[in-house]
Amino acid sequence: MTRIFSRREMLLRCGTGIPFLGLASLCMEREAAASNPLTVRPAHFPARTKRVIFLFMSGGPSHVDLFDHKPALEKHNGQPLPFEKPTLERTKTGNLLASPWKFSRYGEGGVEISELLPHLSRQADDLCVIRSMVADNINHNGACLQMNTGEQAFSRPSLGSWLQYGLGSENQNLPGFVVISPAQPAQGAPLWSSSFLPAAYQGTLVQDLKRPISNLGNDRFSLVEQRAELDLLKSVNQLHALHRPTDTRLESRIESFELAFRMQTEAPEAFGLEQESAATQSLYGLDNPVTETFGRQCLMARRLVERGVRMVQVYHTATSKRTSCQLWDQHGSLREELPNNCLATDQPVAALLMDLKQRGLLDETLVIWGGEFGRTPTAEGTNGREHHPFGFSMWLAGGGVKGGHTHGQTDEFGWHAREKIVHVHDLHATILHLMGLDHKRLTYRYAGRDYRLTDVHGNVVQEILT
Amino acid sequence: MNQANLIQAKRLVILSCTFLWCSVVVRGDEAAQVEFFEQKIRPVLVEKCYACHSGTADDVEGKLWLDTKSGWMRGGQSGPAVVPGKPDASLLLHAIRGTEKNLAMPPDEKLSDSVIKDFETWILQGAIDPRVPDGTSGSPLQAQSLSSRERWVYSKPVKPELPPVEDGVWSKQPVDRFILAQLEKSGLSPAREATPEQLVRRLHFDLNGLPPTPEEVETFVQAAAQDRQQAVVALVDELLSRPAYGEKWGRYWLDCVRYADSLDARGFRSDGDITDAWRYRDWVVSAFNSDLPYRDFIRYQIAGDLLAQKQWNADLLVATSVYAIGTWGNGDSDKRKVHTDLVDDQVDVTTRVFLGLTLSCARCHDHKFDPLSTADYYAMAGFFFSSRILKKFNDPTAGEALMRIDLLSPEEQSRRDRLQSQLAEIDRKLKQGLTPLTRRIDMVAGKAELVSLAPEKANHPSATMNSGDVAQVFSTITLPGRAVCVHPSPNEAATIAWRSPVEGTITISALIEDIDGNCGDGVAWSLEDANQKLAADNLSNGSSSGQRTATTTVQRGELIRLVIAPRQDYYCDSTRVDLTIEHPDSGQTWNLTQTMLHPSSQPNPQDVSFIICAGEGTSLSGESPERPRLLARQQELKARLPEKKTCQGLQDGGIPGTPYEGFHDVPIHVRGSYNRLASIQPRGFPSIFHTPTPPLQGSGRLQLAEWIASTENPLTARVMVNRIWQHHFGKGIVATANNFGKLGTPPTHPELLDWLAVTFMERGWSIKEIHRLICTSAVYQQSSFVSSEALERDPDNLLFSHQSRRKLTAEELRDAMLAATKELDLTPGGLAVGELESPRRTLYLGAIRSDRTSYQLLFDGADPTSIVEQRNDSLVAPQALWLLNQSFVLKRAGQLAERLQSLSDLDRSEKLDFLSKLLFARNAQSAETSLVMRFLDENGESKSSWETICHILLCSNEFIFVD
Repeated sequence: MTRIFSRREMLLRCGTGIPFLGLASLCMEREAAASNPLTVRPAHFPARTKRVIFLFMSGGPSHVDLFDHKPALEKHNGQPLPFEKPTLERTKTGNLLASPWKFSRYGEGGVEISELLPHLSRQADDLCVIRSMVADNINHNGACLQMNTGEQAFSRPSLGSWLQYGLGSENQNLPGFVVISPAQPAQGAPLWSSSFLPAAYQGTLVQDLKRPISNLGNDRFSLVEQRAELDLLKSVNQLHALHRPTDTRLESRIESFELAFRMQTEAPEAFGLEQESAATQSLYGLDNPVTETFGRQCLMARRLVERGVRMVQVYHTATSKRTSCQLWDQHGSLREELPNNCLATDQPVAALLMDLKQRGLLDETLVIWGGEFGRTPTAEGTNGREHHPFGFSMWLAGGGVKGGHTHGQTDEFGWHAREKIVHVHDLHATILHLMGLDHKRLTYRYAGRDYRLTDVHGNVVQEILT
Repeated sequence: MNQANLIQAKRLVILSCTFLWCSVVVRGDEAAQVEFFEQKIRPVLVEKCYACHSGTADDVEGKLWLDTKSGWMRGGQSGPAVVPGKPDASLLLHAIRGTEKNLAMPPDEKLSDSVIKDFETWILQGAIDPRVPDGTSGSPLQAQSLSSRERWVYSKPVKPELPPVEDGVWSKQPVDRFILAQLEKSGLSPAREATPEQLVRRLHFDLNGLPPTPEEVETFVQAAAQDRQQAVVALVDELLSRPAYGEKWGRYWLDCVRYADSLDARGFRSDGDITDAWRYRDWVVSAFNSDLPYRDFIRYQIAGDLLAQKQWNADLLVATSVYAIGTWGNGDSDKRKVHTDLVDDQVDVTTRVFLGLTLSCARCHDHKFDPLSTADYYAMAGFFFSSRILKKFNDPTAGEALMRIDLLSPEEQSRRDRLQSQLAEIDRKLKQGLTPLTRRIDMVAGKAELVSLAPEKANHPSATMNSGDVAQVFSTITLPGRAVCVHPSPNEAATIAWRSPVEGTITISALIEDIDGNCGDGVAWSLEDANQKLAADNLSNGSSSGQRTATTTVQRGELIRLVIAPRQDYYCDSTRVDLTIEHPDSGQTWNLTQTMLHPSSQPNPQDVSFIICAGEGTSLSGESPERPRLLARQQELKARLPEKKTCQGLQDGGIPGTPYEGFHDVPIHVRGSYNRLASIQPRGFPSIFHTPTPPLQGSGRLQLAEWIASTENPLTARVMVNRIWQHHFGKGIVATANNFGKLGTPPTHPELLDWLAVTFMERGWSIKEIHRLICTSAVYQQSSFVSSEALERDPDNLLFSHQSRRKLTAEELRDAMLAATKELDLTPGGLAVGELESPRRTLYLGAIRSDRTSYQLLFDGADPTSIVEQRNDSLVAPQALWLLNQSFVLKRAGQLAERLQSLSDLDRSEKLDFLSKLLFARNAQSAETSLVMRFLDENGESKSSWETICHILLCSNEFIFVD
C-alpha cells in the first residue's frame, strides 16, 4: 500500500536545503498534508464500494426466526437435537424450538424472510443473505470483539480503523469512522479501537444523538471571538516556528487548530437531521416513537456517508422502552422481545436502503446487517434461545454484492453451518476486498510481527460478488 | 559473543547441515527449500491435516502421521505417503488430487489447484521437511545460523573501551565519547549547548514531569552562569530526590505493563475488576523514588510472593500485581481458552518488558524471525500455568473474580486471628440471653390480620400472629385463627418469655403444636424458670403436646420461658404456642394469645408482660450486667484489629480445578489451541540463551526471576538502559524498546548501549545513576535546534547530533496547566480519581480499559490495553478542539487571568513577561509583546482580554513543546 511519507523523505522530495524560508514552509505545508493520517490513499485495486455502514444488532439476533427458515424445526418441535451438541456451551439448552413466525420468499431472488420484517422484505432484491456464518466465541464480549477486530481476547485494531489506515477518509473535516450507539454495546470501545494503529484511526463514538461530538464549542467564546483568538494563536505559534524552521510538527499543530475550527462549523451540519425533509424523516420513522431512535441513527449514518465518512457503525442498543448493551439477547421473552426489536429497526433499515438507492449512493456504499452470533435452534427455558456462533445469518447490500441472493446453508435444524461456510475472517476479507484492499497486504508492523485484520486466515467470498 | 557461545553456535550450524545431508538428497539451495516448506507446505499440513493426522489427534486416522518427516516416510496403513522426488508415486498427492475416490483428502473440501501444485513442487524437489518430532519444530537454530546482530543480542554485554575522539573538550561523561566518535567519523559536529533557560525547563519536565517555577528558573540560570556543569549536576540531584520523580518515571513503567485502574466501567470495582491495581502503581512510584535496584525491581514483580515467604514484606506481594492486571478477555465461557490467553498475557509481559523479546509470537508457530520456538514458548508458559491469579474458574456464564491476597505479615495475620477469635467470643457472650424480636412486619402474605415479628437483620427466629377468626393458609402452613405461632432459626430457638409482676407460687399451662406437618422433623421445647426446667419434650412433626402444666415459685421480675428449638431439620418448624399463667394468691391470670392479639398491644406487641425473643438464657440480652464491659472491650479490640488490605497478585500453584493445579510442565499447543496438544516441554528458558534450567522450586518463578535479573543475562540490563535513554532523547539506541529481535531496529550505538548496561549493573542496577550519567552529559545538554547540515546528513538524528524537541505527555500537559494556576495538588498515591477537574496529578486520573474517550488517550497517553514501549505522537484536530473548548482549559485560563489580576502593580508588558516566564521559562520577546499589545489595544485591556491571552498561551506550541 502507499505509505505515509516520512519526514525525511518529504524533505528529500522538497529539495534538501533550508536556505529559503519560503521554500521550507512550502515543504512543511506539503508534508503536513502528506502526514495527515486521514489523507485519501489509493486502494490496492479498483474498489467496488467506497464506504461501509455496519448495522450491528447487539446481543445476537436469532437466525432461525429471521432469515434461516427451518421446516424441520417445526416438524421436530419439542424433540431433542438428533446429534451431539458442541462441547463449547454456556448453559445446557433443551429440545428443538420451532420458530413462532412464518417465512415467505420475496423479490425476484426469492430471499426467505420472516414475517417479523415486512419493510425489509420489500427490499429483498437488494439483499445478499449469508446463512452460513460462523464465529468462534460464545460470549458477547469475545464474539463482538471478533466481529469487529478479528480477535477474541486481545486488543486489536477494528475494521473501521483498518479501513481508514488503508484508505484515509474522504472528508477531512469529519472523523473518518463514526460509531453511533446510544448505549454501550458489549465491552464498548475496544470494538472501535485503533489499538496499535495510530490513534487518528479510532472510531468516534456518538452516544448522545442530540450532542453528537464533544468539544465542538463552548459557552465562553462565540465563533467570531474564537476566530480572533485563533488568529492571535496562529501569530504566536508562527513566531515560535520562525526560529525552528525545520520542525514540521509545529506547522502541523497550527493546521490542527484550523481544522478544528472548520470541524466546529461543518460537523453540526453533518449531524443535523432537522435539515432533512419531513418526507425523509417520516420514511425513517422519526415521527413514530417506536422507530424514532434507530431511525435517527440510520438517517445520521446516511448523512455521514454522503459526506465521505469511510465507515459508520450503527449499534442497535436503545428502543423507546429500554437501552441495553445486548438488546437482541433473547435468553427468554423471545416471543415478545424479538418482535419489539424488529418493530424498532425494520422500517429504519429498509428506509436506509431505499434512501441510499434513491440518492445513487447504494452502489458505493456497503451496508452490512448482523450481530455477534445467532441463537440456538434449541430452547432455553420455554421462550428463549442461547448464544450460537456455529451457524447464523447476516446480510450485505449495496456496492459490489449480489442482490436477491442467498449464500450458504446451515444443517436442517439451523445448528451448524454446512455449505459455503463464511467465517468472520472471510467476511472481513470480503469487506476489505470490496473496498479495494487485499486483506493479506493490508498489514501493520507491531511488536515483532506484521498484523492483519484477518490474522493468518480469511478468504474472499467470491460467489457473492457481482 | 564469547568464545563458548560462538563454538556452540557453530556446532549447531554444523549439526543442522549434517541433519539435512542425512535426510534428503540435497538439490539446489536448501535454505530456499526449507523456506518453501515453511511458507507453502507446513501451514496446509497444520490447517488441513493435523486434526486427524498428528500426534495430537484423538485417534490418528489410517495410522498416518503427517506431523513429522518420519511419519510420512513410514506412511500409514496404505504405505509411505510421500516418496521424495516422485510426486506420482506419492500417495499423499493422489489423496489431495482426489484422483482416487476412497483416498480423497481432506474429506470435506478439496484443496485449491495452486496448493496441490505446491505439494507437487515440494515432493519433486526432494520433500525437504525440517520438522523435528513434535508437530512443531524444536529450536529453529537447527535450521539457520545466527546473524552477527543476533550474536550480539544473545551474548552478555562486555564493557567496551571508550573510543578515541579528536575533540578533547566537548565530552562531559563517558557516554559522550561514544556519540562524539560516531559524529566525528561522519564529519558532523554536535549541536551547540542548550541555553540555561531551555535546559532547566527540559530537566524539570524530563525528571519530574512538571514545569520549573520562575524562581527555579532564575536560580538555575544564575548558578549556570557561575559553573554550568556544577549547576546541572546539582539540579539533577535535586530533581531525582523529589517525589515527583517517581511519579514521572514510574508512569513510563506503567506504560510497559498495560496498567489500568479498572477493566470496564460496567463492572467498576466489582469482583472481576482490578480494584487493587493502584497499590501496584504506588509501589512502582516508590520503587523509583527509593531507587530500588532494578534487579530487585524485577525479582519482586516476577516472584515477590515467593521471596515474601523468606522475609515477609507486603510490597513483595503487591509487586506481583503486574501479572493480575493483564488483558485476557475476562468473561468468556470457553474457560480453557481463557486460561491459555491469561498465561499468554503473562508470558508476553515478562518477555517483552524485561527482555525485549517477542516470545508471544511463538505461541502458535515458531517465531518467524527470531530464534525462538514454540518449545521455548511453552517452556516459559509452564512457569505461569504453575501459578495463579484466580482461585478457580467460574461457571461458563460468569466472568472470573480475581484473587484478593491479604497484605498482612504472618505476625499481623496471627494477631488478627487472635483478635478475631476474642471478638467472636465477645459476640457470643453479647448474644447470650434473650433478644426480643423488634422488627414488625405488617400485612404478611398481603393479609391485614397477619403480623410478624422478626430480628432486625434476619428472617428467623420469628413469630406470626393471626388476629382473624379464620385460619390462614400460605405456603405449606395452615395458621389457625386467633393464634400465636413461632418459628426458630437453624441455630437459634424462639423463646416466649413472661416477666413475673408478682411473687409466690404460679401455675403454668402450655400448649405446643407443630402446625406444618408437611415437612421438617418437629421441634424440641422446654418450659423453664430461673433455676430449672419445669417440663420438656420433643414434638414430632405435625403433632401437639396437649395441655401441659407445671407449678413453681417465682420472684418479682423473674422470667418464665417457653423455648422452641429446632431439631435436626430446621425448616417447616412453624409452631403454634399458647401459654397461660395463674397466680392464685392474687387471682390474676395472664394468657399469651389474648395479650398478643389484644388490639391495645398492636402498636408495639412487645411492650407487654409476654416478650417473644430469639435465643435462650435466663435474662434479656440487653439486661446482662456484663454488657457495658463487653461492649467497651469489643470497641477496644476492634480498634486494634489490623486494617484489612488486599492486593491482586500472583501465587504459586496453578489454578485449582484445572489440569494445571499444582506445578506442571505443559505441552505444546499446536497452533495455540488447547485441543491439539503435542509433547510436554519442561519449564525453562529459551534455548537460544543456552542456560540450563536450575532445579526448580514450586512453579520455578523464583528461578525464572533470578535468571532474568542476572548479570549473566544478555538482555535485561540493555533493555532497561535503552528505555531510560529513549525517554531522555525521544528514541532509544535500539528504537524498538520492546523488541531487540530481528524485526526490531538495530542499535545505532551498540558499544554505548553495552557500556551503559555494564555500568548499570556495576553500579548496583541503580536507575538514578543512569539518569545522572545521561542528564549531565554533553549529548543530553545539546540544543534541539538542528543545523541544516545535520538535518541534511542525519535527518532522523540517528547520531544524536542534537536533542529532540518533544511534546509534553498527556500527564505533563494537564499538570503544567494546574501548576501554572498554582492549583496542583501534590498528594501522592491512593485510589485513582475519576474527575478531570481534580487538582491531583494526572498520574492519579483513573484509566478504565474500556474507555477510549479519556483525556489521556486523546493526548497520546499509554493505551491501557497494550504493552506500550513508546507513546504515539499525534497532532490531531480533536486535541485542538479539546484545548479550545473544554471547560477544564477555560477554567485554567480564567484562574491564570485571576492570578495575573492579583499582580496589580505590574504594567501590561510586565504581565506578559510574567506569563512568559511562568509558561515558557523565558522573558517575553519584543515581537510577541507587540502582538499581544495590539490585541489588547483592539479588544480593550479587560480581564476578559487577559483571559483570552492566557488561553492562547496554554494552547500555544511553545507551551506544549520542550526544546
